[in-house]
Amino acid sequence: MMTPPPPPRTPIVVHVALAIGAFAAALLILDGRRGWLLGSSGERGDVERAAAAPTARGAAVYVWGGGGYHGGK
Amino acid sequence: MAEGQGAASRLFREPGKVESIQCPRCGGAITLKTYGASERVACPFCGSLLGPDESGALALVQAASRKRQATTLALHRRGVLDGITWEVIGICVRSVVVDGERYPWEEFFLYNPYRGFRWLVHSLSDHHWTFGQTLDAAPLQDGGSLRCHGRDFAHFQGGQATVDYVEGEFTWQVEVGDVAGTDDYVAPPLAISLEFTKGPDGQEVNRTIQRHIDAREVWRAFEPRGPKFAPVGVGMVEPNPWRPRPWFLVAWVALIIAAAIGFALQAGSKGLLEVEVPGEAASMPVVQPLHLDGPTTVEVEIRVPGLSNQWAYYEGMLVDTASEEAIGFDLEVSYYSGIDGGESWSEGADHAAVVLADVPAGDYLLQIKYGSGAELGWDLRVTRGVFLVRYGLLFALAVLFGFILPLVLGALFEHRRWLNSDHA
Repeated sequence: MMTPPPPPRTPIVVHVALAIGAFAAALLILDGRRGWLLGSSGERGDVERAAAAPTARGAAVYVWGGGGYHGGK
Repeated sequence: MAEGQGAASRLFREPGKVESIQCPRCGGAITLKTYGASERVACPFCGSLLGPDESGALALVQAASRKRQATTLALHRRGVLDGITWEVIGICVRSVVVDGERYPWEEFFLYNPYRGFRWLVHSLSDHHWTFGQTLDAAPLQDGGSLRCHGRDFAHFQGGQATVDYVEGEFTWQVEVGDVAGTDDYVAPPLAISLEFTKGPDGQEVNRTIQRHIDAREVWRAFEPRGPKFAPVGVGMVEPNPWRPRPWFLVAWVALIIAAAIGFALQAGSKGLLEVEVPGEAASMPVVQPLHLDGPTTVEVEIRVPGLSNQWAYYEGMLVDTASEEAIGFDLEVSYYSGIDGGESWSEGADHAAVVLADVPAGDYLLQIKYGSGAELGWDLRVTRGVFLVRYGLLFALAVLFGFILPLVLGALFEHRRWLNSDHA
């Protein structure tokens, strides 16, 4: 029986895509509920307690103290 | 090195030292390689067909006078394939005619004193090459396919092959104009070719098994002097580079199962808070305590039920009560609709949401206050552990391009292969 030639080399893109797939699956499992890598963490900054103000539940109100843009039109 | 040692290590006789036999027709020198096995010799100069005589000379079988045809590999060219040195001892150009179009190919009859004979076949239509030998077993016919050595060979093409040109030595009687029925069966990278000829004892069947051989391998081995044509399209038994390997399928199935488990884990989102703010208190801030167990996503959704052709803007903060550091966000809810030119249209929705990612564990105070726009009653809903769809989309894209696309490309490759068959 004639010996078949060696199988052709798998295109490199197949290996790359498999690696990306493994990364995506790992990301989904490990970070899907946390969103560290793909989520938006919002603006982070300090706040200050404001003077007492009326609220729906009557609690104190914080005032944005800085650390980036926050709100406004 | 001693003369005797050098001679003993050679596989072939040097052409110059061989006693030449002259063509009885044109007088051209003919160097025989396999005289004992030769049934037919075609003079490379005039094309006359010669047969072995009992006297040891060559007898003229059929006189001819024609110009030598240029072939991709020259007669007596030597090359190493699979680590074995082969010499071209015969060249045969054959063709089939399909739908009025001629499809020629070159068959190079190779010889090695210790290994016997092989075929190197070059399709002049698409310049793909195969390397073959006589099949040592009779394949089982199973409907339209053959079964041989544990492989199934599917019928690819058949026809009536005509010999157009011969040159050199052959182990059977061949001459220009010979016609044989052919059928090719493929199990890439292998093929079995059956040839049917009418002999004195009835129909004869010759079986050869071939394998695909890369054109560059042939060029490296035989270093042809003429132009080197690159293969066109997909060869009859060209290996499919996109054919999924077992490891490829196992790896992707494992990844998809893992991702499915990941999706199942994402289903554990939990509602933390629902507040209805009446219209009369719409402008008052809502402040609510929250406790988060671990780094997680937090979705804040605002719904304004009565919103119509209006917008409303809200500012929010999620304040860590221990550090008094906050995550700020804003939300705009807008909904517009109408009828334009008899067509109803709408834009936006009466609700909007923002997902805050990577919120650490701790005690928080959520504060949301009305900013501007329509001052209507609104509903607030807060959920933690919300799955971000983009993670699923990323994996879906990876599956699409990494798993499905290679399968599609593999199928297209096979489709292009079979376009050249009788079953297209």
